[in-house]
This record gives sequence, structure tokens and C-alpha cells, in this order.
Amino acid sequence: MGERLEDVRRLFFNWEVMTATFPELLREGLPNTLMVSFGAISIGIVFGMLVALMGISHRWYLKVPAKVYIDIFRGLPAVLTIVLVGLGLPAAGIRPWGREARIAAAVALGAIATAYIAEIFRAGIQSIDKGQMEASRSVGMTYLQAMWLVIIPQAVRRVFPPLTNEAIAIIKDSSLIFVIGLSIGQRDLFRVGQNIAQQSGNYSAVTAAALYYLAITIPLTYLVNWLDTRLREGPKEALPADDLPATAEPGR
Amino acid sequence: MQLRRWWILAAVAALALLVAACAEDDADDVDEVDDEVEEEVDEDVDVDDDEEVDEEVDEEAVDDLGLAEEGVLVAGSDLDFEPFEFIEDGEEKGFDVDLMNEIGERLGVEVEFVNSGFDTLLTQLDGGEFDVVISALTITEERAETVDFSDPYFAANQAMVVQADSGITGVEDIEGLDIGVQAATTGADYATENFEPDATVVEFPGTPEAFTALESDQVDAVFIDLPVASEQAEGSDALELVAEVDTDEEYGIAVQMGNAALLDAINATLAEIVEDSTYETIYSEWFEGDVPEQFQ
Repeated sequence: MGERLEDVRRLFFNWEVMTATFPELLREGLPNTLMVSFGAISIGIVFGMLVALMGISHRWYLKVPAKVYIDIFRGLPAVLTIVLVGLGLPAAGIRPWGREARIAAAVALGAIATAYIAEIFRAGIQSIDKGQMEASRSVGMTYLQAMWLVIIPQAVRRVFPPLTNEAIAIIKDSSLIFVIGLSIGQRDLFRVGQNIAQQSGNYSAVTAAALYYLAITIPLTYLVNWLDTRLREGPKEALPADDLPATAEPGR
Repeated sequence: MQLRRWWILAAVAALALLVAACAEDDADDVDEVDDEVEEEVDEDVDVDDDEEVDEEVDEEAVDDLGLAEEGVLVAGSDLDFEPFEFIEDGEEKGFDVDLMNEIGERLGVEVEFVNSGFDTLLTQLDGGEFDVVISALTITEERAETVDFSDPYFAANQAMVVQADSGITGVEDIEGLDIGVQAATTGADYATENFEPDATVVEFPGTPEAFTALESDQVDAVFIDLPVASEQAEGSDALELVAEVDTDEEYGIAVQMGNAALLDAINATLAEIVEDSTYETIYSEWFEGDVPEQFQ
């Protein structure tokens, strides 16, 4: 057992290899991973909202395409979606992004994110009391006005935690984009780590990449939690002292 | 609430560290005991085995090969590299597969193939997941720093495949092209050294992705081992092999560094296979043309 542990340490946690890997990961891997992930999340939020609104519509020609879209892109393995978008669309002659693999990857991951985020937004919107829509309509707002000005701002606030989950899932899935081919300069964190691992014959470079993923995802989680709390309660100092709930403790 | 959660988190982390530290100390002790027990068991088994095995397999005692599991030789391979190793109808096939099975048969062990990504094969071998790697693996000094190689068993060059209607006629036309390669291959190294920065080298995890990208016009050429290149070019009207590059590469079977028993056994068997012309039989099953002189 001791020998095994030593093997694990040598192969996966070789500090020398890891520290030698950090700069290249920071220079090339991190920007690419962030670019692809946040590109995908942005696409997901915009189109996810659109698909969510279509999904709750009573008009079949809006509702059905939304449901079909969600079923397909939520059901496909991420790696297949990436291959289909990155290699399949160009084969069909659709190549608006030329040969830029990172954009293809962001679009593919964005398509997946759209499906998940649409469901998150739908749940958020439906969790807002019906009376709010009725009240908004009764003061003369149109359906879309009521949605945009009254319902959606509350819904978005409610779904912050699941949205963060989805963002983290996308950041992790961005490690799959290598299947559609990456040149030097386009490589993401995982790929840079893998390249060095294969040159050095030691997997610690990939562990080093893992630390970068954690360095993105963990702070993101806490940032969103903080933002979530703040959005719910407003800035603390703005509250007059006697309005503080009796159980208030730091942070909550 | 928040505060309390932090406490729990900190406590769990501290506990985990403590357990890890203890485990490491204890593990060494347990290990020694384990080893002793294992040796005893091994000796016991040897006594039984020797009587039976000796009659069947000549002097070569099966369990002297340093295999992780007795009687089973686990071979790591990227089974996506026709005609060397690929899966068809749920079975492993190819030149490497036949050769390895022949070696296994002569050593009296069963060969079990494990499919894995080419770029992680050697790390996995080093980590003890396989006994050997046979995967059209070119012998290089760099790789020989982490694993031991058998004598060469195949000679190969690199080649470039393009779309038939591309007008690209050879490596002199590469200026400005995107050239697909399989990651971690000697073809990738060669392309990076010789074609960059005139051309852009695009790495793929496997040959299927690289050739799909070529056919869907995401890269202009694929640079890969000649036998695989000709296999792909012959299999598709849309593709054409336009250049062969003499790189004098030789494939070897990799074993864990220091596993001399297995390495010697493989080398001796390889020599036997070449000598009694079994090599020629296997070769002609997968390749056209004469067997290279060194393997006749």
C-alpha cells in the first residue's frame, strides 16, 4: 500500500512537474478555457431565456420547438455535441466561424447550456406567484412588459444557485473541446496539461490543470453565493439597525 | 449559519489531512507485512505450479514475466489505428494485435487488450495499468526515458493525405495550410518541427477525428504514419496520399522500465517469430509488398 501511495504521489502530484506546468497553463490554457466557457455561458443565458419564454408559451409553434430543442441538447453527451458542431456543421457547408475551433467549441457548449438554462429559467419564472402577472396586466402592462419588468427580474434572482451549477458544468465540459482539434495557441487548460504530461511521461501536469479548474470554480461558487445573499437582502449597512432580524449573524 | 458551516468544513478538512497522514505512516508498516505474506504465498503456489507448468511450457515459468496478473498479459493500445490496431465486429484486429497474440501464445500467456488514448498509453503503462504497450509506437529517445522498448518490430515512415481535389501535391505546398496530426505521435512532432510556422499544426486525439476534419475541410492535410495514411486514402475517393516523408521510424513494444524479464522474453520471442517466417505470414495479411529485409 505504501508503494502504491508513492506511485500516486510520483505520477500525479509531482510538485516539480506541477510548478513547471503552471506558467504555460496560465499563459495559454486559462485564457482559452475562460474564453470558451464564458462565451458558452453567455450564449446559454441569452438563448436560454428565449427558449424558456417559448417553452412557457401557450402557442404550440413556440412551445414545441422549445421542448424538442431542450430534449435533444440536454440528452446528448457533450462530446458528441462538440463533434457535431465542430466537425459536422462544416461538413454540411455551414462554417460561419471558419476554422476557429474555439468559437465552434463555445457555440457547441453554448447550445448545451441553452437547453439547461432554459429549464432553469422556466422553473424560476413559474415559481413567481401568478397573481403578480395578473396584477401587472391589470394596471395596463402588456404580457411581455409584465414578464420583462416584473416577473423575470424576480425569477432570475431565485435561480442564481442552479445557474452557477450550470456555469461550473460548462467550465468543466470545456475540457472536451480537444476532440475537434486544437493548434498551439488554441489549447485549453486540460489540453495544455495533457501535452506536458505526455512529454514528461508524468500526469502531474494534468493535476496542475485540475488546480486551475478549482481556482475558477470554487471562487465562482462563493462569489455567486455572496451576490445571491446581497440581492436577497440588500447591502447590510443600508438597513437601519432595528430592522435587522433577531437571528442575524455575520453573512446571513 | 454561515459561520457554523465553515466550522464543519474546516473540521472535515483537518480530519481528512489527519487520516491521510496516518494512512501514509501505517501503510509502510502494513506493506512490509504484506510483502512477506505475498512471498510466502508465492512460494507455495510456485511449488504446485512448477510441477504442472514445467511439463507444458519449457523452462519459462509463466509467473517469472513480472506480469501484474499471472498468466494474463495486459496490452495497452489505441485501437483506432487501422491497419495496426482497430476494432471490427467487436474484436481487436490488426498487425500489432496478431503479432502480440502470437508472442503471448508462445509465452504461454493470454493477451488481453485494453483500449486507451494514444497520448496517455505510456503514463498508464508507467502507472502499472498495462504490462506492455503495443500501439504502432515509434521508439524514441524521449519515450525511452520513461519506458523500456523491445527490439524494433516494424519500420514505418510518415505520409501526408489531402483532399483529392485540393491541388496540394506535396510537402512543398504546405505554406499557410492547417495540418492535422494525432497528438503525441512522432508525426505530430515531425510536423511541429518542420512545418511550423509556415503551416499551422492542429492536434486531434485520434485518427478518426483528424480524417473527419480533413473531409469536412477543417484542415487541409493530415500527416500521419504511412501505413495508416495509405489505408485511409485507399478507403475514400475524396482523399489522396500525396507525400511520403522518410523518417526512418521503427516501432517497438514498450514495457515498464526495469521489467527485464518480460523484455527479454518478448525480444527472444520476436526473434523466433521473424526467424521461422511467422512474421512474414502476419505481415502479408495486413500489408502489400515485401517484408522489409531486417524482418526476413
